[in-house]
Amino acid sequence: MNETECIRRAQQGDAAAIRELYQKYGPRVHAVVRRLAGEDALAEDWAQEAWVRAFRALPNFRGESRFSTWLYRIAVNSALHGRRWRERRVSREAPLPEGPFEPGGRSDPVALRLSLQRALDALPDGMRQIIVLHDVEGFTHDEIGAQLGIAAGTSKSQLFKARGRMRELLQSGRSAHRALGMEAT
Amino acid sequence: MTHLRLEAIARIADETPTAEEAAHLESCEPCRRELEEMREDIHTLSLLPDMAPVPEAWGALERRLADEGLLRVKPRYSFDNVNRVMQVAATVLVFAGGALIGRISASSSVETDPVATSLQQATSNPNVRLASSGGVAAAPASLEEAAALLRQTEEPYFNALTRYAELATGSPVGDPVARLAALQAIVNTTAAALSQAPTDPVVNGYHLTALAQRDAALKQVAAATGERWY
Repeated sequence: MNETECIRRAQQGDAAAIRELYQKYGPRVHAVVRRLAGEDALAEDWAQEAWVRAFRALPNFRGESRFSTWLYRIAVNSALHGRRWRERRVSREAPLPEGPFEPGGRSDPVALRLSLQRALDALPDGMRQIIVLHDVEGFTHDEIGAQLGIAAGTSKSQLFKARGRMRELLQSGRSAHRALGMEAT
Repeated sequence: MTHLRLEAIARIADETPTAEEAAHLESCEPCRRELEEMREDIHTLSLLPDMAPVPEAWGALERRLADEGLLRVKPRYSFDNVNRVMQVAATVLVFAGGALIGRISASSSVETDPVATSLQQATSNPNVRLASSGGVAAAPASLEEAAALLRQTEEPYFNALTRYAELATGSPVGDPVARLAALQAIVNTTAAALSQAPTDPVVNGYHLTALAQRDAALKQVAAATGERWY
């Protein structure tokens, strides 16, 4: 079944078509939601919420943009909504990362990705959100500003602070690693 | 030497540095390395892989979508299927009614009617006692016995039904072409039922019997018109 047909059938509530869309885009949706959430348990709730919102809105999808673009925007909005919901209830402190970063050093791309993911998780929510939206998902500052209700310049300055904080986390991890005599490179 | 702040390096990763910053980078190896690593981090962030949801996530989502009426699960029995089932049920009802009527009418001429005699012979089998004769059908002990019982009862039933039609109309069964069409309709119905329950011995039995009767009618029509039936 091609995607257009799959979407058409999913708009009518066809279970097989809905599952096909979920299987195709599930990992992508989960990734963006997980990175915005910063933790697994929250990500599962938010991802489910994102999909429910998407399938509620699907009958109104007219194909004016790519389905994937439309879906990811819903996922991001859903996660941002979830984050705001949580902020009203929980004052989340950025926990210090457990264990050293970059166990394999920067020359190991897999280790570097793991280190970056852990550093993202350790960032405060606001900083993580900006980095995920800009550096991971590729949104522009204008788009981020529109989604968050802030000026593009504010988005930009927050991004630079967040990047700086992430570098500090990576460096502190590397220093801890060196202190333990565990540097691999 | 005072190094560039990380926030400034983060900005320079995207934008052109000021002249002062450019001059500092020219002369400061640690700041250049920091800028290179930050650019590498940003590039790597853009390549982070997708993350598969936990396998249970779909089940939970599916239930929620179903609860909200967003998921249309194909019913096990669609309306068309129900219609077929009803057709089969109607056919069975007609068969059973015919058997009862045939039995009643045959009982009045059991001594002279060969059809009734065959029915009586079939029902004289201790395992085959029709409800209309006042007995209770013995429950077959196995699938094979049930199939055998079915076969034993089918032929006299059809013969009785034919005889009943003859007696009711005062002549041999009327329009053979109309009968052939009716039998074909039954074959179509039982074939549809068979597609739903291909291993059901009862449905198989009805289908085979309907096929046999349809073929017999076809031969009869062919003989009457002088055409070959095959």
